[in-house]
Amino acid sequence: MTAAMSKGRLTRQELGWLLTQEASGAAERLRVGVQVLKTNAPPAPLPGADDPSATGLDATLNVLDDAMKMLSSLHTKPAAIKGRRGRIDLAALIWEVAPDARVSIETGPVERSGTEIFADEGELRRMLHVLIGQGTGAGSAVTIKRDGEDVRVAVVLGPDSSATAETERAWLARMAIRYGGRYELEGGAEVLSFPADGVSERKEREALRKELDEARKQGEAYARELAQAYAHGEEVSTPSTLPPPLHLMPTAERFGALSKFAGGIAAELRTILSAAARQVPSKAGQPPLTALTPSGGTPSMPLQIADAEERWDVVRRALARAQDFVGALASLSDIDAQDLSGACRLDEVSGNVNGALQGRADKLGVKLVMTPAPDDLPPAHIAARACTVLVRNLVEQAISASPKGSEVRVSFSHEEAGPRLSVEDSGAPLPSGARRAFVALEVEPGTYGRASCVPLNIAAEIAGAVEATVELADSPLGGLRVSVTFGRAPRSAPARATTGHETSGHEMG
Amino acid sequence: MRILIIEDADSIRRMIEALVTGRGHSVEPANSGARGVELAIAQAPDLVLLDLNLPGTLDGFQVCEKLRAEPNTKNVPIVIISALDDQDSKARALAAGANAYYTKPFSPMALLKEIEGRKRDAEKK
Repeated sequence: MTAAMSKGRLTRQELGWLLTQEASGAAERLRVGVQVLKTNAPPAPLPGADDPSATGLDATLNVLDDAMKMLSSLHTKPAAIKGRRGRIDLAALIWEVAPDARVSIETGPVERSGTEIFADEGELRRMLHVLIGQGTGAGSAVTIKRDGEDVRVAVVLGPDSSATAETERAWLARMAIRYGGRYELEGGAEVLSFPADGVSERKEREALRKELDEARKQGEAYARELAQAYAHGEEVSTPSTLPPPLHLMPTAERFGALSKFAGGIAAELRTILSAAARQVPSKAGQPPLTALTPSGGTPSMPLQIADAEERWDVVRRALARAQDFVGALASLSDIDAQDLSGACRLDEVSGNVNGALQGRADKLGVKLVMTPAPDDLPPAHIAARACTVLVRNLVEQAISASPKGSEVRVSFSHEEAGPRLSVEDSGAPLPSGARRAFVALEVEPGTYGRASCVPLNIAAEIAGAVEATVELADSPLGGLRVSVTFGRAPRSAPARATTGHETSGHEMG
Repeated sequence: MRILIIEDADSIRRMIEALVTGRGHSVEPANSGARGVELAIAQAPDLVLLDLNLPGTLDGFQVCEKLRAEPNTKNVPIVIISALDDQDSKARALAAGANAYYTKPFSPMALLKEIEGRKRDAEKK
């Protein structure tokens, strides 16, 4: 026979039910017959399976009767057995399975209450039948209790008369384990425990949340290290190229490569510009105006001469800007990459730089002001030559950016991290969102009203090479404030020298 | 190196896999202690990366003890990667035979250095 029968024939379940009904009837008839034979008396009313007075043959018959009852009960609700699987209230099911049982229910505290479990109703029903059958039967005392994460069903043990008791207990234990619970004998009671509904899901959720949290933290750790690796030029697993990308190189090597490259470019440009400059007449001498006339004829109109002179002026200014730019590039190649670290006094270096740039500031009508350094300003952890190039680039770009009649201010402060140099200009403000891109040369020259981003980039490269920090902010003068905070130099740093610009505000304009 | 990763959290295991395979190591994953022990005994890897909180019958401490008890795996370096950051767990793991202990979230660079160090040690032998 197969489980699924063709139309018009009994199903396996129906046949089972019929057979158990037959067996049950046969047992009853046997019981009655035996009773008649034993006593020659009219048959007594049919004793219950749990009749304590039954002995011998009666006891055997009772066992058979029990078994039949149990088998029969398995088929009382075939539809249900087929299978609702889901949330089932054990207390409600007990009322159905054993309506005569004395049931006490303890639902537990509010935060963990309820007697629902997740199970197959058919299997659960069968388990309860067996459990209560193991107990004192129809009038059993059953306790349903919510005990923390578990729902427990306890039945007081009856007289252990069943021959199949051990098998049934083994079956109950196996079924309980299948549902993540357990079957136990506790004192005079049998106890089935099941995980309460939602507990396993909650545990699963908690485990998942924990895993996600760990994964998130681990992901952050990865990201941090990756960022550090890029920032410090450590080796990272990117494909190698020739020459290797700068961010993969150690600091000194990286700076060395950069200054060499800048020096090479500067030399090339200088050659080109020199050739061009030779063709431009100096302002003092009269230009070879013949050069401006295609036919070589003499220009006779004063308007033409004035126009030509104006054009030469444009060319001269462009050349001057290009030469400044080349100078900035070349200054980078002056620094020995292996000798970046050292010690110097920021105020001394700045005084020297400002002195050198004074003429240029005068020419552009910009006032160059250096405020006195605080007495306790410690030496900066950078070699003097590198510091000179850094400060020169900062001050030069500030002068270039500031309009005629405005001011550039150089100041110093003693910060917790070390000495700080600030250069402020009166040029066009640089929006905070654009500052990083500007310094990184990611914007077109002239954007934001500033001629070039190269000097700031050079200053930032030098600062980065000595692990100084660069900050860009709005200046009260209306333009940009660039602050560089250096590390403190070791104790063997040079002593403060006496220079004229240390004692008071030194106006160089 | 052939590295056995015994870690039940899929995401963490995959991250470690990505990290070490990127450096040319081969990886065998296991998501439970029992499976990890089985693989370790069968394959005798060059290194075991082991979580401590593992589901099932064997936790990381027990895995460690079992691997040390097996002739095939008694000398295999075991590096613990665990969320347990208390001294007691560290001491227990080292007593059970672990060679190194990293707390989650661990530094990938530090772990790679550890692995490279173990590789150099293995090559010297």
